[in-house]
Amino acid sequence: MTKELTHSIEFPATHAADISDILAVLKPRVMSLAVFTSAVAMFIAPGELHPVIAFASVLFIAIGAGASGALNMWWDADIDALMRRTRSRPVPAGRLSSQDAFLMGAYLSGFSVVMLALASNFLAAALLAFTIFFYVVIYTVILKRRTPQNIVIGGAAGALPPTIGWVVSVGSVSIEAWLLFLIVFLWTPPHFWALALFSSDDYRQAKIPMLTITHGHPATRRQVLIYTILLIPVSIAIAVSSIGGFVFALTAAVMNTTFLYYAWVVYRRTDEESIGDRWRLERRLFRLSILYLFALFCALAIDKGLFQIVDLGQEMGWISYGR
Amino acid sequence: MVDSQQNEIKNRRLRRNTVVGWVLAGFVVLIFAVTIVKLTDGNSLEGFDHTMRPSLLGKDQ
Repeated sequence: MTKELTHSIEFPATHAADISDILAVLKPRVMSLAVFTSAVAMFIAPGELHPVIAFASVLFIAIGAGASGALNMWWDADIDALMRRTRSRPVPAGRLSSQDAFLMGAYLSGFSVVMLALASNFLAAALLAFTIFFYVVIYTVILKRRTPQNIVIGGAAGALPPTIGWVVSVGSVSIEAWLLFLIVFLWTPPHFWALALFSSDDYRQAKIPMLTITHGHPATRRQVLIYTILLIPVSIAIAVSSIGGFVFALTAAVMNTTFLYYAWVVYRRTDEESIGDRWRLERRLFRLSILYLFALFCALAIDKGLFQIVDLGQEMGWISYGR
Repeated sequence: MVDSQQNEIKNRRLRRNTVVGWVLAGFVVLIFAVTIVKLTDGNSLEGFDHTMRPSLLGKDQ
């Protein structure tokens, strides 16, 4: 193995790991995004899915996401130790050795893929394997320390769970599954760049080539605005697709308008203004981006629920059309 | 090593092992549930080793 592919810095554990450290190494926040988006995709997909299979599939997708988080923490322990935001993570803080994080990530990756194949289907398992590979090898090892496009391309890994959820339910990929992928994919850059705007010092210290470091804040603000605009046609496409409905259309209109407004305000600001109010609007944009995705996926689930109620009403004779 | 530190390490290890035990038990229950669903959701199981299966016979046979 070349030095390039060998993790040269070992982080031995100096304290006994608690169960909370083991959970923390699985990146519960990343897991929650994967769980939420894949569960909603499973629910809104047209296929019939038994609740036990749905629960097991979401669990194995979550374990796969957690495994890739553990492998990311193993590889990135050296830069995590340099950043204020990440230095208290279990590996750089010495509560879990980097070798343990690697073994945990490697075993759980294999386990989650095999179990998803057995519980649902091979295509879903293959997509999960590809997601883990993409997040760990393409994003963490290759892109993260090399290019400011790291989170743009790497965002594909975070955008795949809803597609996997869809495949678990239907067994194949369709245009709706790719639209769900696209909305998360295009949402990732404004989400992370909003964070990067007020965490630039951290990234500079760790020598991570975030767009804020390589191209400066004005360029980052412009890119945030561009990607926010790109989200609009995708949400319109979802609204008119088979999974869209009235609730989604209304939610997308409100959330896109609000998101775009804050992206515009952040774009127009200078660093002096941001420093003056301690990056208040950039922080708000970051929080809003989380709400944006959450609201859109919730709206899709509500629309599906309403469709099901109407279907049930027709079956039971409560609702009738014509005559 | 001081006794209190050893106790702390033992306590953490006990907590960890207890959680791992519960996780494994939950996993067994989950696999059992998935197996039951897979068996009952699919086509009916037929065990006709040495005779023709009724589902393979034509309607008039």
